[in-house]
Amino acid sequence: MNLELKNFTQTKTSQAALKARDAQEMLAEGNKRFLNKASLHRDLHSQIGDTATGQYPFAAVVSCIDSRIPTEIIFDQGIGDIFNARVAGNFVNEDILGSLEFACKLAGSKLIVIMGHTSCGAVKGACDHAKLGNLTAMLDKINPALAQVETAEGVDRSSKNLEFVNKVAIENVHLNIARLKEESPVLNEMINNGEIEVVGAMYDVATGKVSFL
Amino acid sequence: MTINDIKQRLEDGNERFIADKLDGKLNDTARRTELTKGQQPYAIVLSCADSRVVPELAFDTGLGELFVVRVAGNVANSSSIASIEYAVAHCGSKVIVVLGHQSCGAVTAAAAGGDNGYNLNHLLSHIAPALDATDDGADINTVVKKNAQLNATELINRSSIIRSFVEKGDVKILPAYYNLDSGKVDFL
Repeated sequence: MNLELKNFTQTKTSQAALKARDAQEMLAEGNKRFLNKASLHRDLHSQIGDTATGQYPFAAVVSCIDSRIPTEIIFDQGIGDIFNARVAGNFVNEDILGSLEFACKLAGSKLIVIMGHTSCGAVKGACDHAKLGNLTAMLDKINPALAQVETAEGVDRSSKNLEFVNKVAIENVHLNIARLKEESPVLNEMINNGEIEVVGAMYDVATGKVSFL
Repeated sequence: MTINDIKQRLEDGNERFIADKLDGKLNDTARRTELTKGQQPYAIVLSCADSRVVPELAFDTGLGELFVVRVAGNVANSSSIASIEYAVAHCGSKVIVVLGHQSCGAVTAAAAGGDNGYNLNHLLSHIAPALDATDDGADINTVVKKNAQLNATELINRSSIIRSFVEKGDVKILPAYYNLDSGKVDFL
């Protein structure tokens, strides 16, 4: 199996045969390989040749810019496998929705994953109400998640409380899935037609494990 | 690492990638554990969401080495800029690579024009300046290179934080072009 996978590059035909749940399974399997130090040593050079004139990514991932989370490495994917938009705090805005519409409508991706992570610097910044240049407006995008997470009286709601930070990160994923459906008629129609699915996920920076929500 | 060391590190990694001889270092449990305390990536890459352009593979970097901001057309919108400000101001990253790529679908769609719906139109509007700055009917890859250069300038024009780091010589912005057919990164 691994031998076949190792030399496999997505084509229009292979991509068309996949369902959203296959795509999720492929990502889960890849993360397992990463965790087990069994990542495939792909022939990237031949993948470059295979994909030079077209891409058929099976999934699109929205994730954080954090240097500890190289998406293709933690999912053990090669060239042409996943479309990947990255922004601090893994939220969707017009341009990322536009990128996802491109991935699904034009490039044929079957699954969208919105992936947050533990100890996220952007979420921490939002918890602490940090203000700095363009960051201030960006962190506002995370405030709804912050407001949504309830805590008992006296519980620390700052970045010092990692458990709280991670809860906000999970809520932020859920809210951005809702935002995606609300703000992209193109993607929403594809979801309703059963052409694509959207799932949330969390990456643990300590263990390397991806948990689908 | 000095700015020159970082550029050299990226060029060396790209050479290994092209030769299909990745080191694939810094991806193990020990590295993950070390990084739970925090990250100090030496460079930031602003690149496209295209599935064929994977910065960590193209530069052969592991966990904790690169901040990667990705959006179709590698555009410097307010969220990309804010993400990069975070990397520069909080994490000490010294090099910003704005990486366009051969046959970019977003640039091609922007050149084709027409109505692509609200979100895609919004995205493609960021590429209009590169189309304006190149001749009508210019080769797509000429527009891609111009787009990388203009977005590199946009980072300085629209962010006083990035601008001050660049003016002090603490940060350097490098527009670059990824060749889809060879994997080679050309600094422009």
